[in-house]
Amino acid sequence: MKFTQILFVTIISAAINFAQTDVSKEPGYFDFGDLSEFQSGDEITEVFLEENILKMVGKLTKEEEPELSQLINGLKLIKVNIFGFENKNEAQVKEKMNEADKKLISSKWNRIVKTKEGGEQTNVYIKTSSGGNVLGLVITIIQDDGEASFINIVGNIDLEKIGELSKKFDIPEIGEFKKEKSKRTTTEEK
Amino acid sequence: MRKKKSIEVTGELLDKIISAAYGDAGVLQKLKLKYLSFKDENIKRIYLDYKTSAKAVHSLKEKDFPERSSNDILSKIEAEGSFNSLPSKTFSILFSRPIISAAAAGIIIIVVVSLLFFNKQMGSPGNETKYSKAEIELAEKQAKESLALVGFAFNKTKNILEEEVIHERVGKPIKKGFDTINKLFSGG
Repeated sequence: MKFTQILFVTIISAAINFAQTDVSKEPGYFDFGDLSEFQSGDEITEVFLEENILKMVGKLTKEEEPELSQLINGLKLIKVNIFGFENKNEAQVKEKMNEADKKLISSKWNRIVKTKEGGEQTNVYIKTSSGGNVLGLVITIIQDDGEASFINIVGNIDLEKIGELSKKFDIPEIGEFKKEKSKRTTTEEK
Repeated sequence: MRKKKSIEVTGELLDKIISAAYGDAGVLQKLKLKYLSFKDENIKRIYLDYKTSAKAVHSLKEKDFPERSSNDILSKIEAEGSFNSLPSKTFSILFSRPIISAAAAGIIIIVVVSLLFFNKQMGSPGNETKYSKAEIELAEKQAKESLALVGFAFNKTKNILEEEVIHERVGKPIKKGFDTINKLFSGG
């Protein structure tokens, strides 16, 4: 009888676990924690695109931009946080960036870029599978003009393709994108 | 006169006598006991005693059951665990018999898996009714912008590497070194 009970509980747990598709369980996911405490002013850009909507975008762009469609279809999450911060919070934001750096390194992420130029710091990390595929990308940027960017992309990521395509995207210059004010553009509330 | 040899009443025999007296024994066992009773007065007496007790017990009606005894039993059950609670009752019904247990487990598993599968299907990428065209277009713009930002970071670090690190910090000292060597040679 005990065996039946154990079997019952095991099967139910396995079924529930199997059905869960929580992106936070993906190896390429990284939680930056609460960033809202450093944000100041209206210059905030938040993007949170999950697999469902990314697949839809992939379908929509399949005809006109097949390369972009292919790239996006492999993604499970795009999470971007760009915000302005006051001078008094600069040390705290840098501390947050260093905290993320320690966490990522201890979680076996590879830091592929670390640049420091004046007051500007950029770190780029990738999480790779045993086969060498990139499963996660994290970028942290602090600019001397008082702006910070925290980016996490989860899924099957083709870095070369991102580099190529980003030049072709029919979008405003990146500087303009970052200057877009007061855009709390969260498509999906988690 | 030859005295009849008394049969020893062992624990096993006593159990058989009690079973027969209370009507739980099989036909063969009853016949065997009748034979022994016929042979031994002591066994006959014990058997009749238990049979009288059994008759008295069987004649008891539900209302005759002493209230104190029932209260004692109930309090003992409550002390051991709240068996009256709904989860306990459900659990005991589900797992009291292997067949019911297996059937219940099967039904619950099928229901849970079906529900989860159904929910997953509803939230699957193929479910196009979930997003409006405007939402998808906005998502496309945001995805492009995000990827462009990533590309921007890559390109910027590449430029820093090529222009400042390689050219300024590596290229210039090497060039300066070659110039010095050239001067030395041309001067010598």
